Amino acid sequence: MRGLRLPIVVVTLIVCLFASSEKSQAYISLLDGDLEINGFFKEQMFIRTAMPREEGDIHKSDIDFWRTNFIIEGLYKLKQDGDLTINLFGGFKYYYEKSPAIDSEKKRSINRWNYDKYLRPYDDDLLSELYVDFQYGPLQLKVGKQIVVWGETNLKQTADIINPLDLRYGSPGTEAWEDIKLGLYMIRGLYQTDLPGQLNFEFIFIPGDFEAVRLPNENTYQGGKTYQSTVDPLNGGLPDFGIAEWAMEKARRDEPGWNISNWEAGIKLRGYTWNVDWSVFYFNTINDAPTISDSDINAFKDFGAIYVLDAFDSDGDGVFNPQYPDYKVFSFKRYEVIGATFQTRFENFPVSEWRLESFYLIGEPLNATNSGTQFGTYKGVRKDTFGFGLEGRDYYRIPYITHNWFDDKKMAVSVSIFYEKILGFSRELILRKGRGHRTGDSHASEITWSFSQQFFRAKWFAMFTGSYNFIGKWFVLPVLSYAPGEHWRFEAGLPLYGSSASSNRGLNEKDSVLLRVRYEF
Amino acid sequence: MSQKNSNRIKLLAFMALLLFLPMHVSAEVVYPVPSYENDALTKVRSWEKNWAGKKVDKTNIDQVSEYLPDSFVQIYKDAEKWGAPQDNFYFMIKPYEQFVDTQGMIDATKKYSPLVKMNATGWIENYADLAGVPFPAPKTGEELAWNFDFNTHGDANHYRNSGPVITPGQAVERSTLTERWELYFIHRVDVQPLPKYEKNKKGIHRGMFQHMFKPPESNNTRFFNLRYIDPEASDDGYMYYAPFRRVRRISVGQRTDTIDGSDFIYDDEYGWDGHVQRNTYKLIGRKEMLASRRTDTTKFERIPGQAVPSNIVRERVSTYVVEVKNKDPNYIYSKRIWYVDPETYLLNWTEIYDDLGKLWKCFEVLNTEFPSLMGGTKIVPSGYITIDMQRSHAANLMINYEEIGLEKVNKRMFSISNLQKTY
Repeated sequence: MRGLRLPIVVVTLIVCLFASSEKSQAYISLLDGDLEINGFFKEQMFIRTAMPREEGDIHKSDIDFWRTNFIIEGLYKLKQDGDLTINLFGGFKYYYEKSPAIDSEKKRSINRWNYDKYLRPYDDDLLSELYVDFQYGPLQLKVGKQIVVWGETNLKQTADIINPLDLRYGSPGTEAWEDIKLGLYMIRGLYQTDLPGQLNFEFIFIPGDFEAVRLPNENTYQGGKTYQSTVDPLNGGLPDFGIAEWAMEKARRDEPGWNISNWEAGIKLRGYTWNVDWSVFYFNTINDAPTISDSDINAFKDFGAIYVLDAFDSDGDGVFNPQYPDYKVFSFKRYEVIGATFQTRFENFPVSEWRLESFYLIGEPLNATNSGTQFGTYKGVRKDTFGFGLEGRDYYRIPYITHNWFDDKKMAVSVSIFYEKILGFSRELILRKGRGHRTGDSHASEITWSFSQQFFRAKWFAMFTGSYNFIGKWFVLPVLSYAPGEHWRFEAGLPLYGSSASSNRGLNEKDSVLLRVRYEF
Repeated sequence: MSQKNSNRIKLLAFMALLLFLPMHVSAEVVYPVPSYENDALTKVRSWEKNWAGKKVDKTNIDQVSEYLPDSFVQIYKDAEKWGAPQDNFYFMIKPYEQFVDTQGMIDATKKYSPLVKMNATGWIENYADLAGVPFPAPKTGEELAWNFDFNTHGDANHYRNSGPVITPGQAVERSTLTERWELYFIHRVDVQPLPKYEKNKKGIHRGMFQHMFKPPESNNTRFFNLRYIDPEASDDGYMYYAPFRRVRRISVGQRTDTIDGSDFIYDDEYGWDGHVQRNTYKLIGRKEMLASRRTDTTKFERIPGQAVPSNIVRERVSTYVVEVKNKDPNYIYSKRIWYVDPETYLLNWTEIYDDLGKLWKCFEVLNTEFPSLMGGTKIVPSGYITIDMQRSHAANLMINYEEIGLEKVNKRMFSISNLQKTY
């Protein structure tokens, strides 16, 4: 009952407010404009176009993802008196992933520890954000759970480093950044000065709220598959889960959670000089991804052995049921990030809007092995990494077509290139595949693009977005969207994935049809 | 030269001086200037005896068609094509009523119009130091354009605009709702400081801040635009796109992009929203028009899918007709024809032609008289009916003013930090 208290309060509040609303419209303003409400209800589905033979025993249906998502956001103006404004903002979200409910094989294949947490929000996930916003002249102070955007490049994060991501249900490209970011409790202050260059100071202090990046669960649409990460047991057949999921679950259990020692702090200075909007920032943070400390190397070996021994039925009970040990294996270490962003406009250049974001990770915690693979003797290392993203963006008129087919609405085009280089690189380093390094390469580079076009008076919208990593890994997503009126939006897309890099397949073989229906209010 | 001739020359010079003396006296600034006086007014009043208070629809529109753009006459005649009810598509005629601007506008015009210093390129060298109507007796298209440009809509104002994008006959419409503030840093006539903010290092002409509520995918998106005094400087625009919480600088290319499915491009606001010197202007002459100068949008009647609302109230006005061509040979329009109100120098109508010289769009600028917080009233744009004649498409944008002549508009409103003072 205790867990239901918050949803009941929120739903009751919503019902009361809607009942007192004078007029139903897309944007809802209540209490003489003191309360603004908006949100959406969304159904989203990924239907696999080709199911690999190896996945046959974990799927009965090609519907590999079907989520209902509901978000409601409200801004309540608590006080407005001269220069003083106090607002309360809250975002409430609820979702339910229904594909296991229609596919018993899939339901069986998702590990038991996270099944419920995968299906629906847990803990305070129901609150996407909740903060009080004080504004007094040039000073703004926000206190509470927030999502912060420091970087603005598409598909890849460069300077956008504050909030961790929830990658269990989608990834940048198919989902908006804000749908996959996890809010953190923090104090955020901004001060607009009258100094030359319109200098603006921002600070962030996160007093101890820690969330690790949420990686996809095994055998879900976004996740890896058991057969890809298991040992070959003597008794034949697959264990219930792979060793990767076994390790990820342990990492989840080792997350430090709320603790004052997990503080994070950042400062950002923004200005405008010589027609350039620029910012420089510093962030002292805890790594969102787990690593193994030198002091935990033996614990890690023991932990891996528990899985392997039980897979080979060393205890002779005939059941694969490894038990998680109490000792800690993974840790989330502190490091620092400095960076800068620049945005300007070249009026007579074919691409007029330019944005450069760069970062320098100081002492990023990583792991290395003596074999250069995930198997071997681990050790903890720290490396500096430099990276940048450069984005060009503009709007283009296509002769004849823009006028005759697109009602004179120009095509929006954005192309970006990303690059990162690990300094003092060693082939022994273990790197997340998502970083896109070729095996043995200190650098990774990737281009992304987005072409979008409205037509039929903005009722229809087509977008072609994608990325190409120079190791041969790519992603494309054509999407067609139809919004006939005020509230409804229907979308269909075809996310396609490929990789010629045998060591980094990504979501290869997960080609799908994406269907999305959204009611916005 | 003989003494006799010399005396003759002196006499002639003296007579010439006497001749010019009354001209100098009459060169005193005459403002406001009514659209109709004397015989012209008598004729209009005579015409109004038959027409004032009368409903005009397809049955009798031919009798007043000379006072409307042909495109709108055709719209009233072919109601079905434009989504209007066959038997209840009409407008009303009211008597002409002179508009007299605020005392601040009158004083500024009398004070500053004699001081206008125009150089050979057509640029007003003391542009930022003047206010009021710079050319109260305009003789060229360019002078009319400057008069249009100097209008500050009450120096600072706050309004909401809303309206549907219309495919005639289709009941499902997408609509917009935005809240907007404007602050003029120069050409100020009513609200202190006059005629300009002295502290204006960036050389801003006008700041505009907008908060969007509809369509839903744009809800909470905020935008500001700065127009600079320097005619060579492009606007600076920044948008906080709420769904992604990102501040983006707006591309210059977007000035000629259509807005959210409407027939409007950013340059179309007010009839023209840009530096005066980006166009050339040619005065064609005067034309009697029926124009909505005191619009009450609350009395409009419109069913979904109807391109032009019924019950627009129009009055006679003797407009200036100006042909406007952009200096950019690749500009989206080949020309605009402005119908300029002679009392407000706002536009009443605009006809827009494509690159083949064919009529493309016709916009009616609805104006309204609204009390200024500084006293008196201002006539300000209160809506736009935009018709794409080639694609048979329309959009209505109605403006509801909250305040005109605001004293307190914080200049920090036009800053990136203010864009983010939301969720």
